[in-house]
Amino acid sequence: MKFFGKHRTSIKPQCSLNNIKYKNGKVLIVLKFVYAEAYSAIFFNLHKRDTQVSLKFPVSVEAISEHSCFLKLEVSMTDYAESLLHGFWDANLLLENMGQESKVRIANHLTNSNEPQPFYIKGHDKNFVPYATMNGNLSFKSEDAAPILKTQTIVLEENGTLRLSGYLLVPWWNVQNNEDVQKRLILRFGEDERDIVMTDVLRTDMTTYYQQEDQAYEWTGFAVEFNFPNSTYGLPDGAPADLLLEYEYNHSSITLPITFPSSGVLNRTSTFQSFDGIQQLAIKKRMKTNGIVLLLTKEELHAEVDEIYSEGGQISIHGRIITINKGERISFEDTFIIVKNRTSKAEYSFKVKIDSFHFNYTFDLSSLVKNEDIFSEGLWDLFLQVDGVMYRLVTRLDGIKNKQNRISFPPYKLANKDGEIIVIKPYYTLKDELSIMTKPYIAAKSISKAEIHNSIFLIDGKLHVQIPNKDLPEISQGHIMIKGQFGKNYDIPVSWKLQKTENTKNEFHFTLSADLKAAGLLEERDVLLRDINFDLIYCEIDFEDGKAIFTMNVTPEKVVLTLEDRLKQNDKYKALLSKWGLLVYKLCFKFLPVNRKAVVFQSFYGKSYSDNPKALYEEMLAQHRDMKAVWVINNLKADIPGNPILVRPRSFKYYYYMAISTYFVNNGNFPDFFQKRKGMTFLQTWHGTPLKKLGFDVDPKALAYEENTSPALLKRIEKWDYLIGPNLYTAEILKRAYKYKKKMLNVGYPRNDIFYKENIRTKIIDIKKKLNIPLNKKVILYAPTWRDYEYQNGNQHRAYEFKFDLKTFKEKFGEEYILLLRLHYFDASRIRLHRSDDFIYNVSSYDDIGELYLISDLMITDYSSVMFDYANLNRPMIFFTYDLKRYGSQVRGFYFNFVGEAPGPFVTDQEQLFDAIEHIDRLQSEYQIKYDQFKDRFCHWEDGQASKRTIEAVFKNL
Amino acid sequence: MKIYFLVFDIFGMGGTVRTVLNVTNYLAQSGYDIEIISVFRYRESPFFEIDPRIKIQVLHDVVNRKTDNIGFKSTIVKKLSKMKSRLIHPDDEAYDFFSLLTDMKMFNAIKEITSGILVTTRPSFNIFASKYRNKGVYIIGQEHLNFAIYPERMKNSILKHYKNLDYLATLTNDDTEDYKRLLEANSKKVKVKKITNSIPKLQGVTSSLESKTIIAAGRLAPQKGFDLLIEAFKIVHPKFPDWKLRIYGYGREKNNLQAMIEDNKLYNHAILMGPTQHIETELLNASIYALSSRFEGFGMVIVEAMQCGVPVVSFDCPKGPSEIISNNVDGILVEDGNVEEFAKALMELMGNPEKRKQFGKKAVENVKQYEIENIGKIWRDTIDEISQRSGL
Repeated sequence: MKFFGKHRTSIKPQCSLNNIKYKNGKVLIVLKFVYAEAYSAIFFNLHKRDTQVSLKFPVSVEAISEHSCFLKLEVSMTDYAESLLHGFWDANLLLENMGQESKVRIANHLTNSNEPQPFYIKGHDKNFVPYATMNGNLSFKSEDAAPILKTQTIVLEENGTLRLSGYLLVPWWNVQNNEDVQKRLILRFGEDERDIVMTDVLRTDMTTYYQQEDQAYEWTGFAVEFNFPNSTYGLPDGAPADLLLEYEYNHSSITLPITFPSSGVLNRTSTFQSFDGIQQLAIKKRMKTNGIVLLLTKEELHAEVDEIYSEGGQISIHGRIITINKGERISFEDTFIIVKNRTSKAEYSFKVKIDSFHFNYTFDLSSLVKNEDIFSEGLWDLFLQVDGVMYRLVTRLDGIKNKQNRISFPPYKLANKDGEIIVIKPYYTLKDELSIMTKPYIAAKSISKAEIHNSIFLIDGKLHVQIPNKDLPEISQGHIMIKGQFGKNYDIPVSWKLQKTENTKNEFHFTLSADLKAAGLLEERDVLLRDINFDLIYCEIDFEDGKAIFTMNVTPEKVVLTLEDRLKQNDKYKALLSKWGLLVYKLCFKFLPVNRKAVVFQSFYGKSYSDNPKALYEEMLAQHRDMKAVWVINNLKADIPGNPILVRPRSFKYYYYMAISTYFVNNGNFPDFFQKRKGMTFLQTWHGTPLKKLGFDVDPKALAYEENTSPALLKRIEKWDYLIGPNLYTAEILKRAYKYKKKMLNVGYPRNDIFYKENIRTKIIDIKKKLNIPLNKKVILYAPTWRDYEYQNGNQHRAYEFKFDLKTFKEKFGEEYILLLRLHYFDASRIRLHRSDDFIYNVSSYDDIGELYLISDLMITDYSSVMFDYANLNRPMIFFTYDLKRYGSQVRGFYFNFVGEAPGPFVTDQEQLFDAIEHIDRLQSEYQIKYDQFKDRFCHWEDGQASKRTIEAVFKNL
Repeated sequence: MKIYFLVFDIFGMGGTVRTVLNVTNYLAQSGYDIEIISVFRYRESPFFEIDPRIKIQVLHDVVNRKTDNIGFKSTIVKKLSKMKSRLIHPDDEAYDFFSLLTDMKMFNAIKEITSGILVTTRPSFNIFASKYRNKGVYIIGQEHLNFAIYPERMKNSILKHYKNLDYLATLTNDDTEDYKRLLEANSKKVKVKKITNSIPKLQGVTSSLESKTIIAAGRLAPQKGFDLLIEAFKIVHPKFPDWKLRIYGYGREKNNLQAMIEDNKLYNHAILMGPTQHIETELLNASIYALSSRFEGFGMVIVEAMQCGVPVVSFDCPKGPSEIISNNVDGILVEDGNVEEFAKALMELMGNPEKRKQFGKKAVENVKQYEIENIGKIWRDTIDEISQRSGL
């Protein structure tokens, strides 16, 4: 009885190397053979690659089972050395069955991992070498015999002791007396070298291992122990040193570098206390020779923390100073512990007493935090300042690395001077340095829905609550603030219901509810829902010991409006509804006629009313085109002129219009269910001039290649009828990278028409009013790209880290400017801003970035294609590329020479950035030529008429 | 004669995988034809090295399976994988991993084996193999635990089915006696034979025993008694404040142990290090090995520590420690569960480097008997015995 039958039909015979060794002039081979039929004769065959010479050897058979056996054979090197020691020989099995001969190549999966001893062929001074070919088959070659140095053990202890052992074998040395071999271990640095004392090791096992007749190899062994805690062996500080082994016998000598063993792991560094202060030994590798290099470095002064406690609102540090000269020259009179904020660089110092090299310091968190800004949210690095020099506090001498993932300290929860609850705990960096980390008590994790039911406003989702969180009350009061257009602010008292989930230690389910009637906001319900994502929602929960403050990002698709939305809250119904939705699509597609006037518009998957589709739509409205416009959009309360039909993605209405419309305008692709009927037209507007390689331009070796050239993607591209080229550069890239063959509209970007309009001033004032920006101030737009590396490694709940200090920014430029922040929405939901700030405006969810360009006088960006659109405005740009080094490889993969052609200065830190803003006028004229060239290349088709040209080409019948 | 090993997941970590691979790699090297049938595969690449000559057959590949298929077959497969296993004994620790689907795959696999030897590596596999093997296949069941530890239902199944095995391989003398008494009286067939776990031969590097480090390793599970160890370390810590305790391993108890460490303010000194692939390397930086288990099958890690010249302080728990350690010669055995005594024993070694070195030296000598060359010989003898019996 069998469940899934597998049939033993047509099994190809397979043969693989099972064992190979060399003994007394013979190569002994064991093969494993798996077969289906019987053979009348089997031979081992060696076939020379160039001359086609073949040698045949008999084998003996040892059965394993019905269909497999071991084959044993020997190749006598005394007989065949002359031929076999030249050229390459492939190993096969020759099979004879009923007069038919067949050949099976022998596989070799063995010798790469289980390397046999070198087959040294005496009298020829050559090694006969079995190896695995690229295809994993057994072949043989020969090499000149060479001395062999093998390091078998290498141990670097945490206390700085280094032990090495192994052997050096010269196959042709016929040593009679082991003492006749002179051995030296040499430590070589620069021009200098030192002899190191070694232990002689007798290796009887080597004689057995090499299996050479009348040869003994006991003399090969060596072992050495470096006791770095007690001696530097003359190694100068910071000078790399090679390790060489020299054996001499009978007037000939061999010197070889000691190399890394082929397997096994090794502790590569050790920080230890020596007779001469703290030293670090690092073991490095010479790439060419695989040789071991030792690097010994000394620390003038080392501030080691032995213990750090976080108990009862106090963080106490117990440490010691280790110096070379035992403090003879150093004065410990003015020694301080320095606490320094990693971002703002704000510093606090605390005098500390050094008592016979030891120090203790206790931070009383409540009293510090109540009065000052120390230990406010963020990372605070700890230093010891001795004699005016700062030394980082570290814990390294215990040899335990990667403490960040191994040691966790109890956090302490308290309210700061503003009554906000924060959590403070000690923290180890990746280099085992000591810092103190402060986090807000609560962060929003995810939102599952928002709705207004009768007069009750509800938001449901998950929170990330720091430990300690055992005794949180189930119901708490608080309030939320929703910012609306034109400076409206809805301050709504709410009640919070919190419930711990079982998923993680930190996760809580929350429901916030507010009675809009009681708050007098019932009339405003529609505006409230429309503006729910205008900015982040400011949230406050009042607890006994203070208030938890955080923000949440409620995107429009989470807003429950229709019965359909409500049903979709239930997973079961959701699955069912999406099935039915597709069914509706198929039925309408098949049975309903096409509506000649219907135009479906979509931008960024329905996330916003924006970009090229918006520009085209508004131009069509202005031209009074006879159309039935349908916008695919998450926010059903969005303000869109012309009263179009709004449909949410994947709703029944959406499927209906996807099936019966004639025109489709999108800046990306529709989902794969979308098919075209006869007469349907898809205008692909695309969404920007590319920086990173696309489609078939991606390096075939890169991981992203498959995704960029997938058949599914190519199918989506086949559906495009028209494609807009914003400039020649992009048009050519898109055609090539996507193998696009249909109509290319070389017209410029409709979305950029706005910059060339006549009424630009009134438009600017309108937008500024909508955003509640004072009209008398200039505007800086900060629009960095999203970096996945900053988001990963558990940073999802950590506050977004600005690479410049917002407070300093405000102090410097607040009088003249306001700052707009345009971040990826992952980052946007992580920013922590104070409630009533009249300097920083979060515009991350603002529908149309084009309108933001229009109102800003200066843009700070980095590796983002926003530069191509912004250039239309002739306004200055600064490239704040603080991670250019890290991003370098990606930048080099860009389509154009970003570093060479960018139309503005590159700055890499806060100081340079502020300097550039201060002198922006001068920089602008400095970069004018570059700017003009950039515009010539990327904005040459833009003249404010792109929408008109597109509409003329595509919508002739409307 | 072909030898099959039936294993839970040969790609995983942990003691069983390590000891199975020690044996299989040795046998493959000695010219035997070995195939490992791994019921599961939860990792892409094996945690420990597998000799390339060994054939690996994976029955349920969790890493490389395709999940996006929506055909009829995969719907059935999905359903089957959610149904409870009927061929695996319900008292198996990992019972929930198995399903009707893995039952079918295991059944197919064992029916494919028509001759040779099948080595089964956990009680539920022993029982399964004794019931469903084909005629002409010899079964060596491995038993890692003492009979007394099992729940009643498992005991009954063991008594009923183990007598149909050809060999029962046990780890300790006590186990060997117990199972002999229980099985050999009722069955002429099964032979109970002690084949302990083995260690690979190392290059002979030992710890200098100078680092102020106590080390322990194992799954973070109640069985390993790391809670007791932390209790003991709490007693030791005030007297030896510069010593640290490193616990290697991974498991469900991690949060509880971490909480215990925090509650006792030991977070600077008792550290959960996470799993390691190279416990030998870590042992070389330790001065005392602490085995705080509530029970053990054998205590493989004791042997590994001793091989690196690290003296062991261990509870005298069933089974293994008392058989491996010579009390006060190469290690210290402490009354089972007595935390105060355990702390005392630790301090005795912490305070006496000479004693550590003396014990360490003896320990290295003692555990040579467990080197694979010696244990491998018992395996080869057993295989030869079977070959003779089967007339091959």
